[in-house]
Amino acid sequence: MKILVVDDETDVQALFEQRFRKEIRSGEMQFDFAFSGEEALKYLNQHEQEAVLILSDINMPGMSGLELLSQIKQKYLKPPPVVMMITAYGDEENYTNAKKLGADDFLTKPVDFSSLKEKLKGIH
Amino acid sequence: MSKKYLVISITVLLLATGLFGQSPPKELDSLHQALANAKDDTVRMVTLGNLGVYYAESNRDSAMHFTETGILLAEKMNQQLSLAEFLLLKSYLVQKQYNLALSLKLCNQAMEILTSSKYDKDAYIPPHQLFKNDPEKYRYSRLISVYHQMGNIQSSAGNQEKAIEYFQKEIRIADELNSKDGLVTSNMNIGSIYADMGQLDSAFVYSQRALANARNTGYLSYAGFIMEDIGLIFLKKNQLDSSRFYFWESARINQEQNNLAGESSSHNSLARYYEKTGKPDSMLLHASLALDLGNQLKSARAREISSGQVANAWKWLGKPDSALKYLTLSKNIGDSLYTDRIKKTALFQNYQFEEQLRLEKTAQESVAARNKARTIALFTGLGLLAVLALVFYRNFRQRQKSYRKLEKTLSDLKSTQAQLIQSEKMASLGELTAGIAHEIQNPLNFVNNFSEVNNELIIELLEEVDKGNTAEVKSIAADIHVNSEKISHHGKRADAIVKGMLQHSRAGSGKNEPTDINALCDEYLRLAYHGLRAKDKSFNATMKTDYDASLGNVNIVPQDIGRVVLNLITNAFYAVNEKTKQSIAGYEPTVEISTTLSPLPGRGVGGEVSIKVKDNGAGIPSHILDKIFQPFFTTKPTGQGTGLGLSLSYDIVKAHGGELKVETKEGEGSTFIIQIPTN
Repeated sequence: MKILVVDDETDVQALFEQRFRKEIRSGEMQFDFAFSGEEALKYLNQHEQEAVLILSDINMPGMSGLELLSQIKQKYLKPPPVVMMITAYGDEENYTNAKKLGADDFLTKPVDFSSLKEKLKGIH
Repeated sequence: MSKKYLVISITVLLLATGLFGQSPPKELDSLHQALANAKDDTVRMVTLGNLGVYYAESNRDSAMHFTETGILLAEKMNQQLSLAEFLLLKSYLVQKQYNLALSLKLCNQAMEILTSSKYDKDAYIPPHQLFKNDPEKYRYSRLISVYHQMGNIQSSAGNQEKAIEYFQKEIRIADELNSKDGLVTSNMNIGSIYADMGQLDSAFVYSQRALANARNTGYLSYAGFIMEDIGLIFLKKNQLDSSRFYFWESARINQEQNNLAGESSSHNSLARYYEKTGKPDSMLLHASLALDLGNQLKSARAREISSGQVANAWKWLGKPDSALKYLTLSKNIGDSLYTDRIKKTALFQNYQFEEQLRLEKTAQESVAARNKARTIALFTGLGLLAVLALVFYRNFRQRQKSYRKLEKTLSDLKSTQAQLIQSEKMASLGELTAGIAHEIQNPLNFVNNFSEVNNELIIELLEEVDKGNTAEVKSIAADIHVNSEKISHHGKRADAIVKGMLQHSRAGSGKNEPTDINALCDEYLRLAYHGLRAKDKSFNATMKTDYDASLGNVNIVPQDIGRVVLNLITNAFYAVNEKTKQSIAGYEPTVEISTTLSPLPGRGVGGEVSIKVKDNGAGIPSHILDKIFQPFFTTKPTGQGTGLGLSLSYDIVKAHGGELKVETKEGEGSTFIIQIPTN
């Protein structure tokens, strides 16, 4: 399973790679990283059929997570990738907007990696 | 002898031009009638004056009676100008009695009244007067009579030169006021004096002048005297026929005018003429006539002269008995007159001396009064000065008060400004709070996550150690090491953010310290961005950064320059966000921040750091471009901006010895440039 993580914080890469080091090593999960919405779209254009799950932050400079979400949902209908949005704690507005735009699921910061693992395995 | 004779003849009354009209003899009955019938005090007073004048040369006792009655009435009526006329009349009458001291005193009194304006109000001025509506001019015109009488007195006292001075004064005023009457007696008297002094030609000129004026005006009361004077001049020049003619004319006119004194004098002169022409009979006749008239007039002088002439005539006719009788009479009269004269001359001299003293005293008093006035003026001045000083003092106090008020207002303003600056800081801090929360949240997440991961890794590590899998142990240990560095990094990041926040809100100005300007810019860029995002979810903008890596550390007050950068970035975001709201197709809100280091020309060490904050917003309209650095100037809606941001920024950059510049183009955006010299 290929997962694209979109976040402007570059250290999320190290964090994910550490957190999912067993899954990565076993080949169960494959992670790719984009550090902005624009980069994510570029990646998606290049790897059209690869990514099955997109994990995106909302607060990013430039293209925001919500814009990215709406573009993905408009352009990549078949097969529609699963998009999970990461929202800040108690940010109802972003939550509602993301839901309207067709977000499949939500994670709340700080990310609880064990529950994320469960979710990913469920999708898998 | 002739001198004494002249003295009598020349001093004549001059009052016809004043209060009282001319009174030809035929009016005498009507005058008495008028006095008896007068119901009005003013009419009575005028009539008394006219009677006094009428009797002045014919019955001096009567004249004195009417004059003194007039004085009492004028005093009772408080008619000072009229009183002056009566005083002059009395002065003349007592002068004829050779009471020169009293005469001069009365004349001075009259002078005093006529030179003061305080009696002008309600003054009675006879209706026949030229200046009846002008009391001041009327008084001036009456000085003619005063000077005339002054001249009379001096002439009687034998001071002929002084007398001429007074008569000349009289002529001057008479000429000035075109008063023909005044010109008659003055010229006459001067003529007489010159004749007496033997200056016959001058005497003739003045006498002729007097006569001409008398004829022109019809004022003939003293025309007889003038005629006599001219006759005497001809007599002295031995032009005997002319002399006789004038003497006869003189006698005729004096009789016509009921001027007994004049008539007596005329006959004295005729007696002299006949004496000179060798006709003792005629001489006796005229001398006797003169003596009779002198007796009537009760004039001692006239009697003395006339009886002397009669004695000479009898002697000439060979009648020594008669001659002796008249000579004795003349001598007796002369002696008593002489004694009286000596007494009166002494009195006159005394009076003059006293008058002199009085004048000196008056002068002294006036000096004293002047000194007093000066003292008063001095004290008034001092008083004024005191008042002025008081006014100035009050002004000073008020100014001090308003100055204190101003100072207080200023200090109030300063504290208000300080409060505003503080609230501006707090406002920008408020804007940042959400951003700060986000910024702290992220590193904290990393710290938590990496430390959790490390815990898991240590457990795994221990498991691998037990398995003896050295390679795996090494790999895990390396990861743990990386993670703990991440923890440390994000911990520091959170720490820096909190410190920055504290610095930002601190009231006092900080100290210069070496600062990584690139890091500072980046930090505030993120703070500003997240701050805005936290407030406005829909907000987004592209941020471009271009930091000059050669910059190194620059000595600045980090929180101050940080505040400037934050302010500029916030403004830039605000500008692009506003433009975004206009929904222009293809518009990409972009904010760029860049730093450069350029060497300063002419400086060996150091250079200039430029921090550029560029936006592609609406730009700044040219009409407000010069206002944007002014305090409290803001384009933001009320409550959204303090208007202090750019003003404070400007001051901060200036305090660093740098400059804050702006480049803008309407519709295309703005670039703010901070330029700070390093070193």
